[in-house]
Amino acid sequence: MLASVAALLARALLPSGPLATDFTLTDQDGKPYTLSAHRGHVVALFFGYAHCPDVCPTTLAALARAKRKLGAAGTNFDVVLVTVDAARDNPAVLKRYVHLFDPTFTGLTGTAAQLGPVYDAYHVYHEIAPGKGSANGYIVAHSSAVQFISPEGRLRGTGDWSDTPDELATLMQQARS
Amino acid sequence: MIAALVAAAIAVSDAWSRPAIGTGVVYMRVNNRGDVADRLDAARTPVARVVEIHESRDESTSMKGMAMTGVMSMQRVRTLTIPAHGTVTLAPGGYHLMAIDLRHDLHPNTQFPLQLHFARSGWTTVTVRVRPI
Repeated sequence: MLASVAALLARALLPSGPLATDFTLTDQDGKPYTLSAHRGHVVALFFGYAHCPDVCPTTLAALARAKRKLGAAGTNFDVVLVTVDAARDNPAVLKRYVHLFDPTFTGLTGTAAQLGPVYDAYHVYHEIAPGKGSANGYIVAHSSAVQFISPEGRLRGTGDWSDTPDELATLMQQARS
Repeated sequence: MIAALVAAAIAVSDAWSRPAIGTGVVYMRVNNRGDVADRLDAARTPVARVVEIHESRDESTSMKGMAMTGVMSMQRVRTLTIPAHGTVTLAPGGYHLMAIDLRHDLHPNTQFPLQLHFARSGWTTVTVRVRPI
């Protein structure tokens, strides 16, 4: 009982938070995407890569379901994937990838000089790990948090890959209030 | 005859996948009704160049001195033991099959065949369903 209460509390977002660091990267259509241009929307920011078969698709599928559950309330809810594998994830690859989950999802890439400060600002750990005998080339170990940004552009807290669509839908609604 | 009896000890159920480009995933439940352990040691499918067994792990605890949580990584595992009278579930965030160099994108509501090799039971073929979002 106590453990479930604690888990519930851990899932709650903060009432407010620091302003999310602004950035401009390149979206799946090759156009510039500036975070601060999306004020008025809730942004769920997730860092991952298209060759990630397990954790990233699990997260994106859950976010897509959460958005669908919200129905009309989910329309101003933006899911944004920032790649941790810019060498393989160009805009065309990201477009094919994120649109498998939801055609409204955004996939962002950029140069190392553009992405580095974004990883730092959002405390994203990522490390290219050699495949260790795998045919997959290489694997990217990375932070799996989903960071929720309020319509006012404030960082309100995080969810992660193991959250259910219902839990993520609740976090989305909290981020709006 | 004996081989057929042994093969019947392994039952694979609920094999599913997700939409993917480039690299896909397969999850499933493997049940061993036999009296001896078996090992999944190979897999292949016409939709990918290679299929490997991987395990996702939370590596946060290994980031000593860094306030990092939720750092996920993957590691290849050569074989997956299915204990006698036991079940191993391949599920998100844990063991999974990685389908590398997909020959086409995996779209929701499609399916593809997958062959699994068990050290004792030999080859078995299952149908993998790509779940809708």
